[in-house]
Amino acid sequence: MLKEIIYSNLFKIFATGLLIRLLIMPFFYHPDIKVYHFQASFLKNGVWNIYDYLKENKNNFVYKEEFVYFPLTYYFLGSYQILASPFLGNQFEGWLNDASFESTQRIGVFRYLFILKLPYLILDLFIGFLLTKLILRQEDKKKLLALWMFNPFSIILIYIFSNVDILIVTLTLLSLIFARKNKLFLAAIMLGVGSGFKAYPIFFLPFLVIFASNIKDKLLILLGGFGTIGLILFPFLSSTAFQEAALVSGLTTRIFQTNIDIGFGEKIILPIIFIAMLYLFYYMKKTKTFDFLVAGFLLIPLVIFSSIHYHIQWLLWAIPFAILQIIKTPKSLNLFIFIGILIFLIPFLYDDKYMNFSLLSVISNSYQQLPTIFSIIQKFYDPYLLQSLIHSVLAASVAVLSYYLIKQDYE
Amino acid sequence: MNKKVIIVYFLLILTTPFIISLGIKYLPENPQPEIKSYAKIYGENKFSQIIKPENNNLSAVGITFKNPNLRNKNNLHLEIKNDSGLTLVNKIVNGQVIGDGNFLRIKFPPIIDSINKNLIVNFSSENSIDNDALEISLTNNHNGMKPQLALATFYSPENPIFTGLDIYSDWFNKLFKDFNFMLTYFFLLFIIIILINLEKLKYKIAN
Repeated sequence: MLKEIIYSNLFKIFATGLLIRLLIMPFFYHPDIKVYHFQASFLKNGVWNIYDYLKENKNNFVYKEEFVYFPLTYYFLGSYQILASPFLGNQFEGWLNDASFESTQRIGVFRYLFILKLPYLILDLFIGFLLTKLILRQEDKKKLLALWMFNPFSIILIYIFSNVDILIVTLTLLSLIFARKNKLFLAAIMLGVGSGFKAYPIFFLPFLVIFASNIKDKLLILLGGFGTIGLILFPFLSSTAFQEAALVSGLTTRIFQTNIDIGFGEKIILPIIFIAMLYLFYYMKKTKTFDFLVAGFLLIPLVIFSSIHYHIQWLLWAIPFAILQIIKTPKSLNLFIFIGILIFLIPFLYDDKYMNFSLLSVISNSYQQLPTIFSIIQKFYDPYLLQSLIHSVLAASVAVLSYYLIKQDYE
Repeated sequence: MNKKVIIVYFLLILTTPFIISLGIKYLPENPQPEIKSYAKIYGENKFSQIIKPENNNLSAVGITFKNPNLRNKNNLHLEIKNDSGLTLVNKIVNGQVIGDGNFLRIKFPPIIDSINKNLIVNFSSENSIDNDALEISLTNNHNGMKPQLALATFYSPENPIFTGLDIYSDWFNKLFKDFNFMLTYFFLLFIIIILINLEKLKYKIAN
């Protein structure tokens, strides 16, 4: 049986994808991985409330940033560091506390990056495995796995930008799998647990509520989802440090920034319009199909990205569902590639050296001397205007994709 | 199809750092030392430091400034002289473009034979006054002591291809110095390559 597995096409795709990931893992560096691991390192010293701890001791640390994720991210990363400490070595703490220019040149930096990205590798491969469970035809399984394992978008996001979001993506995918098996309460709990890492999975909960066919299931979904996230966040809600750091940062504030002033202090918030439209379209459909649930999990992140200034790391939220959609509707492949290119291009135009060549700084600090793409473009064109133009085309493309998926007749 | 994918990714990973390195115009020589204090630069409050580059083609110096509320809109003057007093570099940067707390890298035409020469770096801002002065970063608390500038220096590579080769040499050197990791890492890669090609290898051995 082992021989059959190893000789199978699916295994070869897995192994080839694994090889590509191993080649990249140690040699690309984004400072986020160091900052959040620096913060997570306090768990082994018995710090349970990282938000208050960082606020009270900020001036003693080399990194003064707040911990912007929800609590489960801290416990997960901190626990993993404790487990991995024999392999990280006794110089690892020194590296974490070194904010100097030369820190990327320390001996051992490749080892640290490799080991710190190992959980992401495991989850990445697990997502590949889970995706194959959602497809029945063997031929489609092979295509799907090849799309997941070889697409450059997820490889770049996970292994170059060291994306913590893969934890949450795994849970949202598990939620879909439970929904497929009609275990809606478990599906809701998965979204609740995912929201304990980062807020965004809570946007998927209304889709599950609409998908459920009776009132009892709908109430169980709400209880499972909100109850889980409530239990996770309850110990921290009274902490002002938590409120400042995690509740009013990143996604939670940017969603409200894209708005139209309609006078008398009121604003129309564009991402909320689009999200509400998606929920209502699903609600209005006569048959609440699983296929549209998948489309909803895809479209929610895409409409958010098309209407706010986003971080590149967030793009991972949509990729597994995009791949599922491509398998179901192969004609949409070109549109997805087009959207993928636009959506990736925009962050590379930001004025941030760690969006460009500085990602290679562990190979050599000389790469940090290269100008950003932003500053190169600035010499002959307005880079903000260019970002705006591309973002506008992206918004239009997502609108077309949304229309296409909503109009589809699902089985 | 798998083989082509591996080859494309492998070539990309191996060659991309080299190709990108061809665009590097400034290489760091000495990183900026730790900043311990700041001092105002205005009027007769000037700062100078002797540096001794370790490479030819010194082409930029970098230092951090404070410019609270971007109040300074006067000229900052950088002058570099050799030990004979000959001015080699004369650059002016306006305070308007100096952000508060920003590391400013001032570029100039390369000083070709800069290696091991004593060069005097002078910073001044004669038109500034105390209230709107820039603050220049120092590596010491200069109470009663000669201030030491927190200065970084950069040089232009003589040959971009050699730059790329140096980068690769440093890369593999750093990898080999973590011997246990390097061994484990290459062993893992080897095992996976074997697993991918197991069927073919078995066929070759059998025949």
